Amino acid sequence: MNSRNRISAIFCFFLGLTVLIKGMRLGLKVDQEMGAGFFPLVAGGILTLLSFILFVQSLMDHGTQGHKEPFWVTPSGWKRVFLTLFATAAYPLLIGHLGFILSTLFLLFFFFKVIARLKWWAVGVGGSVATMCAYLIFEIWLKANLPQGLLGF
Amino acid sequence: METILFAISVALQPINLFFAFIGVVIGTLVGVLPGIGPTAAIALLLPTTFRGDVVSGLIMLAGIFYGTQYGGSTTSILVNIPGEAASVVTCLDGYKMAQKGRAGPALGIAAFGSYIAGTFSIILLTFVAPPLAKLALYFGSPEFTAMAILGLSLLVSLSSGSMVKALMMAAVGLILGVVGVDPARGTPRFIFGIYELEDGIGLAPVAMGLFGISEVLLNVEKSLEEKRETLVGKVKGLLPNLQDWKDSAVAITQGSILGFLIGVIPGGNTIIASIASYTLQKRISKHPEKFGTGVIEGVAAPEAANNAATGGAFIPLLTLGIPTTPVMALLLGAFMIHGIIPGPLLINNNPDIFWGLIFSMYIGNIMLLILNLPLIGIWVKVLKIPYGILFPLIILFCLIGAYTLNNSQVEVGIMVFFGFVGFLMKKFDYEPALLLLALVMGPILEESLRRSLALSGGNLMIFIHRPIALSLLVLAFVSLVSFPMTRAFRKPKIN
Amino acid sequence: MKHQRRIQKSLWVVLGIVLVILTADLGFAAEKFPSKPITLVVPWGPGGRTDIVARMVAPVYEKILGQPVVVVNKAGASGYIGMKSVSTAKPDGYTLLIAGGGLMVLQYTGESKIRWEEFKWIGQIYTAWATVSVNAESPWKTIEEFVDYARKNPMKLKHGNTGYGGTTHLFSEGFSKEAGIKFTQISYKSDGFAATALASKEVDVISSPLSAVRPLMEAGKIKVLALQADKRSPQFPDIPTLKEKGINWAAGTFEGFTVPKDTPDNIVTILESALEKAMKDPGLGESFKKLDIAVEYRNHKDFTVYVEQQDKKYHELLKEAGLIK
Repeated sequence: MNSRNRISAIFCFFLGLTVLIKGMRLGLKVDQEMGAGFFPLVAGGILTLLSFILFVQSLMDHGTQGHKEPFWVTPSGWKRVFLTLFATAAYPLLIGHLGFILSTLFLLFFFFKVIARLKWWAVGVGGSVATMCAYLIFEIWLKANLPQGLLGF
Repeated sequence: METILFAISVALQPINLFFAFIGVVIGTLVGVLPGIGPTAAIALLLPTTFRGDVVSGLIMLAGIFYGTQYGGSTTSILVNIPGEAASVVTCLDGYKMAQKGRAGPALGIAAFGSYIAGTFSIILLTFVAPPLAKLALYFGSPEFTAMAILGLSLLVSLSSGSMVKALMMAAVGLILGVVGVDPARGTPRFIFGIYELEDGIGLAPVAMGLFGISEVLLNVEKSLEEKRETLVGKVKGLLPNLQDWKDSAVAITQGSILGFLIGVIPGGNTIIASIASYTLQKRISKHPEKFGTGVIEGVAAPEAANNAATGGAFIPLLTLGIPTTPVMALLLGAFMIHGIIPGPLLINNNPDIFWGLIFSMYIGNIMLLILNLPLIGIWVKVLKIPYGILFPLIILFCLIGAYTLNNSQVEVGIMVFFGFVGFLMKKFDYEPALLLLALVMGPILEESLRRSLALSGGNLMIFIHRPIALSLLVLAFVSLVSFPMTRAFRKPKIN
Repeated sequence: MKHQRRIQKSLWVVLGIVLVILTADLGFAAEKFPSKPITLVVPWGPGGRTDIVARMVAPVYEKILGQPVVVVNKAGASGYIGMKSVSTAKPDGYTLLIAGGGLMVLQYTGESKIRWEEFKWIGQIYTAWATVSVNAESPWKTIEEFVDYARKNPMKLKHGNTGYGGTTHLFSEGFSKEAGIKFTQISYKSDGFAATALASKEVDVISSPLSAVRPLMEAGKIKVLALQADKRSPQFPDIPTLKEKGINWAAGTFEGFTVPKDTPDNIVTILESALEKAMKDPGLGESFKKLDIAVEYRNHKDFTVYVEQQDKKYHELLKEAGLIK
């Protein structure tokens, strides 16, 4: 955990510093009132300071290391994580072009087939049923106005 | 007295019972579905109330409001996704309980606690509405500032790991709260040219991403294939047992009282109520270190608080016509469209509406309890669905839910981004709850503080001169100091 | 094996049929306008005045046009998001926007640029005149007393506006200039918050319209000293206007329906006449009265002229208040 703490401490340190500097640029005072930059300055400053403390703590803790837990708990788990993340992120982009029904079908098919590795028939049925249910609940019943795609649905 | 009896009869009319039922069902559904909140649901259904009778329409809308509080806890407990912003705190212990197979008792105590608190707040509403309404007017910008500071100092005691890392998350939350347009002058900060960010980073997408999506990513990492893993191994019991009740008694009591008071104050909302109650419970508990691992009081307290706050929020609305939250503003609109002006005259001019509404709230609470209890069995079965099938549905509902927030893909993007961030945070051992809560408190603090200073002409003494603000600040200081500050200087523990 | 294949095949067939039905069901655009539902975009969140007005007009409009009119909220960036979504929408008459005063201000104060010329202004719906409201317990009983005090004590009185550079800020600045007074401006996020602040005496005066202050007025916490209007309100005939008292100033936020500027004129005419009929609907008039909003209809031609005038007025106000260069 120590090496991880060091990494996250460095990241947060620079994040805090950036916010702090930006805060100063935004201005701390505007006609006797608190300026737009005051809050970012304080928040960024706190983060910078705390990151520094964390970094120092992780250095000091060098001796009392426990067991080393690997970052990725399962050997090829990271592939699944990134695939899932990618699909989830692609969905909102896709939905603007393909519309709700098609995009949802694709998303569910992808998840069921690639990540969960279900058989094709399960993928087909599960995906279609879930898409229809979602459509019913959100579009028809709650009138949520989901986006329509190029094909008009 | 006759009017009250008459009002009871109004509330009990079949048509109004029907509308109350519809309201609570819709509310529960809306609460369970992540993303769509009570505001959207009420706004959508507002026009349908135009044609019908006033009372029926208002009863339905109020039912929706209550229903969402009940429903929101369900997803918080089951899949760690706050179905409704205020249910974030319920995630902390609720989800852990579900993971230990105790989803049933968690859901049960949430339902019962909500019912008790809700009824309690309605009783108080009935009897002490007018004097409490005056309380609302004593709160101005300095008081809100002090409240926000108190809230932030309470956050400190929410952490259960390294103090430094917890505070870092709070700081990040404050930074994220800065994103958007500056509250006083409108200068954009950290927008990066995305004008959807001008109003700041929304709470709901961050909550859904940080808690829900990240959890899915974590679970997906572990193998899903052959074993058809389910979320939880064995399910122990469907309802809270005697021990659970004993543990939760105090939590429900303090949650009801505290939640109600916070609900009455303008600017006090269900989120703050649940945070305050949770932290209070943790402070007075004999085993504070267990909070966050799945203790039932950690569910009972916030659930009671947020339902009590719901009742409390009606007071400023009904007695003064002051809406304290966006949902109340909608209800105010509903009143006014029907030509009814809430305020002291409401009780005199339209006693049937006032009392009818209140009694239907009693009934609504009862309905929700009856509705939710059998559902517990169903929800627990949902948990048994193989995760391979369950997680795509979770992601799908989150994606759709995020979109429906404002018909915008930006919110969805924020949710996915924070899903990834949340995943990393858990890997690097940081707690997301504090980030979220600081995200809520930060903007409130900044806006109120700046306005307080604008009012006083830059003079900080304004806080000393106002007794309520001063006492809240003292409370904040005491809470900070009494919490073992030495923890900050101890090395972080490795479990 | 074969059995499974057959099931798979039939599932694909079912899927195919479902997709075809869905596409067919949605129909294709016929010649007559309107032939499918119309979207009315509200560039603010639900529950606000604009939203409520839109939701009140929509059903009446729907009955006249014969097609569903769906209200959609697209809030954000002080209305820019919703407004931009309509100005860039297909100009086929199926996407409408309800906008007015907010857009006027946004043109100059917003980070991103939008211009009223990007729309065709079908017709005006209402005007919500600003007020001069003070706390019920304050010492001034009439508007004259108030202005008198304000003249003698510049910057002493705190005015609660609904956003820096927003409509109420500008209105109060215009009023101040005509009356020879000066307020200290304190910003709040909405009429509701400003009214609450007035009731709790945090500020001394606000300009929010009648619909916003009515509940607190009835509750006896706020009193309205004057209306920043051309004529008195029929619901509150006792409230004088500033003009009557010698202060030549009137202002109010207005709103109407718009469409993207390239929408064909014949469609605009259809929408316009439907709106005119809708505005004459007595039920709608009643609902507006209950909200203390005045039905004020201007047709396409007049409204466009009016908007141009208002644009200049707001621009002047912003410059004079020193909010823009």
